[in-house]
Amino acid sequence: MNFQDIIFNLQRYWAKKNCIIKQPMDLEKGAGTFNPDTFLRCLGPEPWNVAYVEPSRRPTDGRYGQNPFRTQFYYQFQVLLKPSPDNVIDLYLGSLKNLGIDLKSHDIRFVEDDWQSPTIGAAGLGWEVWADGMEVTQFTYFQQMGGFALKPVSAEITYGLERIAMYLQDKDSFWDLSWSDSISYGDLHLESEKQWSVYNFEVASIDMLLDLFEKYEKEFRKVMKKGLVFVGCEYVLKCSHVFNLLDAREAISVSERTSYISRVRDLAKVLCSAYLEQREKMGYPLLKKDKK
Amino acid sequence: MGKDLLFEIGTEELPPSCMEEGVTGLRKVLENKLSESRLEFRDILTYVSPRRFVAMVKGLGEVQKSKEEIVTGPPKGIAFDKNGRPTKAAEGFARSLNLKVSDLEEIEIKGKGIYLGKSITEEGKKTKDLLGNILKDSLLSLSFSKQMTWSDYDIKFIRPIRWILALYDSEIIRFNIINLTSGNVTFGHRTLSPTAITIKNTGDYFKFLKSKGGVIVDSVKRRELILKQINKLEEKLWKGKYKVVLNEDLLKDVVNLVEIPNTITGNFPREFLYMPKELLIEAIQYHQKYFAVLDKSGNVSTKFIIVQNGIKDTGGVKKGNERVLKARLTDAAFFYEEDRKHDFHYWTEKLKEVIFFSGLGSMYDKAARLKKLSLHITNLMHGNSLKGEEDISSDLVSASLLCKCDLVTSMVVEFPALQGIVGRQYAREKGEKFAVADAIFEHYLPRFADDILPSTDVGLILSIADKIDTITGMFIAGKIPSGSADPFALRRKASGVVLSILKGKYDFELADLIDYNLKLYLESFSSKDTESKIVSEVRDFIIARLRFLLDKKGKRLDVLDAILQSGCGSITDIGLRYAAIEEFILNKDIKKIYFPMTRCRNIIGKKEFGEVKEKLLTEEYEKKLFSSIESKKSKIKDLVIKKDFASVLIELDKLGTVVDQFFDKVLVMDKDEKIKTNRINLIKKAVDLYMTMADFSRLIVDKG
Repeated sequence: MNFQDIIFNLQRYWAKKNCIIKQPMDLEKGAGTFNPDTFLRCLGPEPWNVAYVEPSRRPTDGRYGQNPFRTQFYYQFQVLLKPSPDNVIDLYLGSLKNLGIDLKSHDIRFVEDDWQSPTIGAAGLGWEVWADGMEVTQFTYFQQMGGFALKPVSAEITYGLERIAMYLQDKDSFWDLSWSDSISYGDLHLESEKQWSVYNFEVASIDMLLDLFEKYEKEFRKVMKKGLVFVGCEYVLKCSHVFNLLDAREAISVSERTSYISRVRDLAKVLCSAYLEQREKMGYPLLKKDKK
Repeated sequence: MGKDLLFEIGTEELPPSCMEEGVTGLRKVLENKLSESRLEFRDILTYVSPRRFVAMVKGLGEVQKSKEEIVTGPPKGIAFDKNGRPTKAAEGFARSLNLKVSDLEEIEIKGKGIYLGKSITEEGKKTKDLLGNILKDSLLSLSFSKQMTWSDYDIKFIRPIRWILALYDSEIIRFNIINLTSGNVTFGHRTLSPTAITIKNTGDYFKFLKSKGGVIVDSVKRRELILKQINKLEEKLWKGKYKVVLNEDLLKDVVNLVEIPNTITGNFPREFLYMPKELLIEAIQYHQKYFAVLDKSGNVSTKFIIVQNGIKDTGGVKKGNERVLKARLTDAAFFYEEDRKHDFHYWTEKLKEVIFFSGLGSMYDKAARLKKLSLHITNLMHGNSLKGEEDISSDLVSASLLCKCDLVTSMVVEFPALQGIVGRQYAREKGEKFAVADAIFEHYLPRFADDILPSTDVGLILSIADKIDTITGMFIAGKIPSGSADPFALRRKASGVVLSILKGKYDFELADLIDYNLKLYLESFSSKDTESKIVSEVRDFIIARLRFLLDKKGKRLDVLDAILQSGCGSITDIGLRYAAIEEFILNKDIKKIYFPMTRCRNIIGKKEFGEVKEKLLTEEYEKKLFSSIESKKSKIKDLVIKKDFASVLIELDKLGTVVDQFFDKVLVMDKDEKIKTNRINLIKKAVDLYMTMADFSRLIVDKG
């Protein structure tokens, strides 16, 4: 199954399970969790079922294209189910089956992996899912976002698309994956992976990044004063990404690191609290829709 | 007699780390709730697998024990008027029990008098009618150190609960929790046998889960099966040419990651074998939980063992795992190569950025302290110097500055369990002396109870310095362990200090070292108020671990306490005194020291004491005692310095005879106040002499 077919397949599967299929956000971010469709929508009482592809960036994971499956850029397929259905694991296993994985001849395992993202004050309990030892999915019951306890709890299912493709296509490296019948993943991404690794580790201007962090933080405060929650969300993401770049450049000492993380977390907290307030004022529109 | 109760909490996949906590908790809450409900049972057996906590209550009686309760009302004087007629108080009380006053009895309460009351017997209910509430309460009161909620339910558990099976013999015990109703249905292997399995009788449970569900519920049996499979590989297939590295922690994890274990062997490319053995083994074990395999000469082979969840492999499982391990090893090799580009100078600089503890500086600061501290230990032992002291000192300087460096290597950041091991490896690779490289590893020892201890003086001394420094630092920061809370494992570190000192036979006063350590901290970091207290607090904390260790070995704590009263604060010295007294108790008569000293101690009280005036000594036996004390004083002092405590005891034994004669022949409480005071001062001298070794009057001695 080609890479693009895996995406089609998952989209169709989750659409059938009552998820809306959204498209990625046009901003750098470390994971699908940072997309407001998860980051914000997991807050509050409104039901929300969504699936989308999320191109993700983790500068420190760059390996100059030399590691078969560690890269600074990759695709996630993100599913958020709120509240988490009782048969959520069966739904997930159904999606693997739908991808053509024979569950009776492969070793599918749920291995404890409690997840947290200190920068956005998020925490959850769950597993990494192994398929014959390969971590193909991160499965998390969100407990907290922006420091707020969540109720109802969402189930977040994050597929590592490249890993699933390696598994399905029996390939040993991202770069050998077929994206389509004629184009490989390497054709599309290997050169950019090399260039970004050089940039992230060696070239990115530290002064500019430090400056940007301050400016984005300031801009966040400004837009939040006007109640522009969705704009504010993007500035939190920008701060977070700039911080990740600074981290890759080893420009932040260990003690400074803690203080940067807590600065971003403060922003996330303000943001989540404002979002919750706004939805309440709006009378939780999706809650009403659900009842109709 | 009675019947068995089966209680299964079906969950989503449990973390192996919580399983022990879960089954212990389950047994405890069931024990409590059943006993509170006056239900009798023979035993509670618990089991756990990745998707279930199970309790089997054996021989649970079918009827609750009846309860007799005496209810008392008003005192007799108030219950009846002068004419003996019941008052309103009596009638009200009777009404509250739905009885007539004539049904009530007179009940005597000791010390209070006679009251109106009634003995009420509550007949035992049928067990099966009580169990629903008992099981529900038990489940709800089960708690974990890490809990979660799911969906929109108001319940906390370690992972979502998906079914509940509750069966008393063949009867279903019904109760509701969140969206679930208990029943007689369980589930087997998640993907191999997804259909529900009905259990009609508790006796069928294990059998059916195995045959129909493909699940071995008992973790002991899963463990045995894994070991059996590995053993078969080693003996039958490999014919002794290869050996599996059976890491106990890994085995525990793996047993609880599968519901039915099935081991298969994979291979990885030879190109990774160039990495150091311990790094390679950890890379195989850490993320993927595979077992490494050694060849005949003890080198890592390209084989590895996967324990998977009962799948009949058609090739995919093996191949998939091989691919993953290859990528993991590629990553480990990447970190190893990255580290090789750097040197200890680079890492030392990076240590400046790693915080040791908030307010107590960086790991670099700690390393600098360790250098001074470990040298100070060698200085404190000036009297009996170490063999090859010059070498030891220069090795200590090198090792203390290098021992924390591996914390900032890529390898240890990725594989934290390799701390010390990576340091030793890299030190060897960079051409450091072997003694220095080994000390880097050994300074972390012992890592857990009953772990090995450092093997060299450099390792031992650095280990002592590192642990004392952490303990002192945490005491300064106010992070003193209390009760069961010891987040920095300071007790374990203190035990390590004691064991290492004893092993090295290092003789120094703990307080001297702690005091020096405190000064080092205070040079750089100001502390508030408690500085002076810290030295004695840390010293007592470490001595308390010596006490703990002796107690664990079944040694006599009264002997230790007696020694501590002498004011001795050197672990080694205490150990030698202990051994001498223990030996003496075994072969001689300790009463000959105990009784004379106790007599002396009892008579002198806690007054002020002065010098003995020789001219006031009139009687033969007090003169004899005086001269005996005078002659033994310097002798015993020498013996104590030489640590010849056996001979000290012989001297004190002899002194006992003189003391006894003194008490038999001389009246201490003389009419002349001056003589009396002088005699008491004399006895005090005897006490002092005993006390140079121990306060023997604290020993527990058979008085007969």
